[in-house]
Amino acid sequence: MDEISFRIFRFDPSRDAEARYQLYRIRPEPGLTVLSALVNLREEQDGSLAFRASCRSGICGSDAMLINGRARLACKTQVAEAAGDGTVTLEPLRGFPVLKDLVVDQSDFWEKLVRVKPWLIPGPEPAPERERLMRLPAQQFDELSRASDCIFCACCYAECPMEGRHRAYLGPAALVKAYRFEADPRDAGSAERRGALDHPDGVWRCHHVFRCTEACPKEIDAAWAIQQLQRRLAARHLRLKGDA
Amino acid sequence: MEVRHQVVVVGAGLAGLRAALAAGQAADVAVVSKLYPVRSHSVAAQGGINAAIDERDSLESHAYDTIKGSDYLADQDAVELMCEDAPRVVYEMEHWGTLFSRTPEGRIAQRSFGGQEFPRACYAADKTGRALFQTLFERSLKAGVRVYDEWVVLSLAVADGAVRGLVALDLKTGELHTVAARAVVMATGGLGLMYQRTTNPYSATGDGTAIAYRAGARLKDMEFVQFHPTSLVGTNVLITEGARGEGGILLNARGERFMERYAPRLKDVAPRDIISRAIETEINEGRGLPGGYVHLDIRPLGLDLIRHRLSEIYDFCRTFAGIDPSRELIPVQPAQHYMMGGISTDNEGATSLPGLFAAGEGACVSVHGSNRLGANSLLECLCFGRRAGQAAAAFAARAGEEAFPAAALEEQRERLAAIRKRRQGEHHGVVRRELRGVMTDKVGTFRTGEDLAAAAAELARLQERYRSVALMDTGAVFNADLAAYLELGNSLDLAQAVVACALERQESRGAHARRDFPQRDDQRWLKHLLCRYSLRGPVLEEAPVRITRFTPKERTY
Repeated sequence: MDEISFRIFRFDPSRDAEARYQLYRIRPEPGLTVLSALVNLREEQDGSLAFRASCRSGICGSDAMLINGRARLACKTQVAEAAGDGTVTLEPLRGFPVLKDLVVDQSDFWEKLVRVKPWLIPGPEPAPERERLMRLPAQQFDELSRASDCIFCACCYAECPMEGRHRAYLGPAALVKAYRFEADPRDAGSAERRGALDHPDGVWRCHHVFRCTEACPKEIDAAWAIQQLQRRLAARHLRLKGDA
Repeated sequence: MEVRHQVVVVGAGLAGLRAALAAGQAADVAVVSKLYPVRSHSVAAQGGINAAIDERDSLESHAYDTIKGSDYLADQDAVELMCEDAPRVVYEMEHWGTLFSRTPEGRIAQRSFGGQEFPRACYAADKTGRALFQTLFERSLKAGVRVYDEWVVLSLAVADGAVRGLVALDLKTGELHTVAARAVVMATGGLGLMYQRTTNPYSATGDGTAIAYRAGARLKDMEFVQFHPTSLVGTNVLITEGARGEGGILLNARGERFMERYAPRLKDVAPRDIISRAIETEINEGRGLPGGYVHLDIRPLGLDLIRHRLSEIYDFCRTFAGIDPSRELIPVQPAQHYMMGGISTDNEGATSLPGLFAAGEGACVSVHGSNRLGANSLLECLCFGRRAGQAAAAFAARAGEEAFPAAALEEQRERLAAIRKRRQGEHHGVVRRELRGVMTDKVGTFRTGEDLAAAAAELARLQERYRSVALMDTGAVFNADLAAYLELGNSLDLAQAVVACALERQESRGAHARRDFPQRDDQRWLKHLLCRYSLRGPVLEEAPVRITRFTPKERTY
């Protein structure tokens, strides 16, 4: 392929009455990622193009965007792969207010994260002088480790159909974070998190469409993690009922 | 907008957030960062954090390895302090929730790392930086630390020889804000984007270091730039030293394990400066692969270990190189990775400018001297970030409430107005590309006086051109073009400091290898170079190296 087109969503609220799409020509070299192409484009063709980027290796979560309609990280997407028919369409993540071009306002995402108390809440026993011992079966440790891999890119929010319809839903990333602590044997914060989780806009809003799991660039099984939280809460409800 | 805090921290990576949490214990603190905290590059640190927590290890051994690794240029009292603090740092992070990998007994797991006589790098698979950073980020959410994110700091406000706060550009709106403060902690990290080949992110432009430098703070050890031996050919993303710590080996084009010849004892886990030079030598002498690289072989480790302890590497190789490292060789080459030098501080993070403190990669205590050992930088950030935060809060408690100098804001307003008005001129992107080329070609692993002098002349010309470059975007909202222009100014000033110090130091020590002065020369050069900003270029001064109990001797591995 000689040249391909980047069709990019453009909107600057201080100058534009409405959004438009702008076409750019890109020469796709082998190994060129969508992010590298955008960086070149901004330096060589159009300095007014806005997008976020930092680590360029899929760890900082800055450059999530819709690539041909799907939420992905630009740095982990090869141009050659995305340019099936010769055009790559780039748009801001769905479900967030657009600040400019491909840059969205993620405030809502961060507020939801804080609601699940995303920090370790240890039990009342004093911490040992050294580390707390942690012996988990390998598979359980792997699940915990995987759940801690979230890079806050918000791809899962953009893909989640419930997020789109219920703005108050905590959403996959916040719930995965909650699961990461709920599954940590050092944590004793379930009671403190329950108010947010055991709520119509908490774990029960998830209808298991698995789009979050599909979208996660870190291969976190977000839908599974939400199911685990649902199970724990359901088991508690049944227990309480049994006691009554 | 005008805001006021007792302490303001610039940068929201590991050192910055640690400083903010520490300062917040005793003062009203806020963080200003051009990135949202979790986007900071601390999250990219892979291999580990050193701490002598095993009964068979010792603080003295950790200190000795660090000082020997520094080629005896580190200040030994600072190294001892850091190594003594290391177990406390690691246990504190564990208590706060960091998910370290574990031994079968349930203790924090440790692995071998370059230049160390004991496997003392505590790790969380190959994502140790992210594991530590997430814990700190979570603590900062819990503590309600105020963060002004996506604010680009333009300058420090200085009056009567002391820091009074800073001026920042709000990327989201294009507005200028003033942040009045009694003490400022600079923690803006690395400067690798001045190199073409670097493992650093787009954001690593040394902003805080350059701003402090222009405000009068001294820089230290700027000639010492670390090149990591194993960056993935193409994108130059980092392949952790932990891959070799777990047993991976380097092979040249003939399939020879060449490190046996350069470091007979430690071989593939020798310090980074030695391995990077060995790889360059193999390539220069015709034993590299076409295009200039060698191979890293981790196949013998097996898929299971790779997927668990090197999971990011496994992903990087597949995503960026299209290879499966459990079955194929990884193409690697040295790339700029870390800056040993930075804003000169004492052991409490204080700089030569009253009210200004610094910590992390952008600072220089100096605990790394002329070459940093792997897994010591996460430690440095957490150890000295905390100390700098505490010292800044104590300073703020003593300092009075002073007025913010209005001239500081006016100066920045005029600077931005001038660049926005300029209609003609080449785009700054051209100057940036040339800067990155010059630094990679002439200020790399091996250096000569001739190359460095040529680089200095070239940088002076680039500075000249920088004064007349133009923007493509003059808009207000999220003007990344303007941000990149400001960052380039920072990169250029720091590049000149690097080259001036490298030209001055006529010896080879650690990461600074001069072909025209191949020996270490303790008689003349067992000292730090300090660098002061002037309009005519960097002015150099000297400072002694503090030696406690480790007498300099030849460095062999």
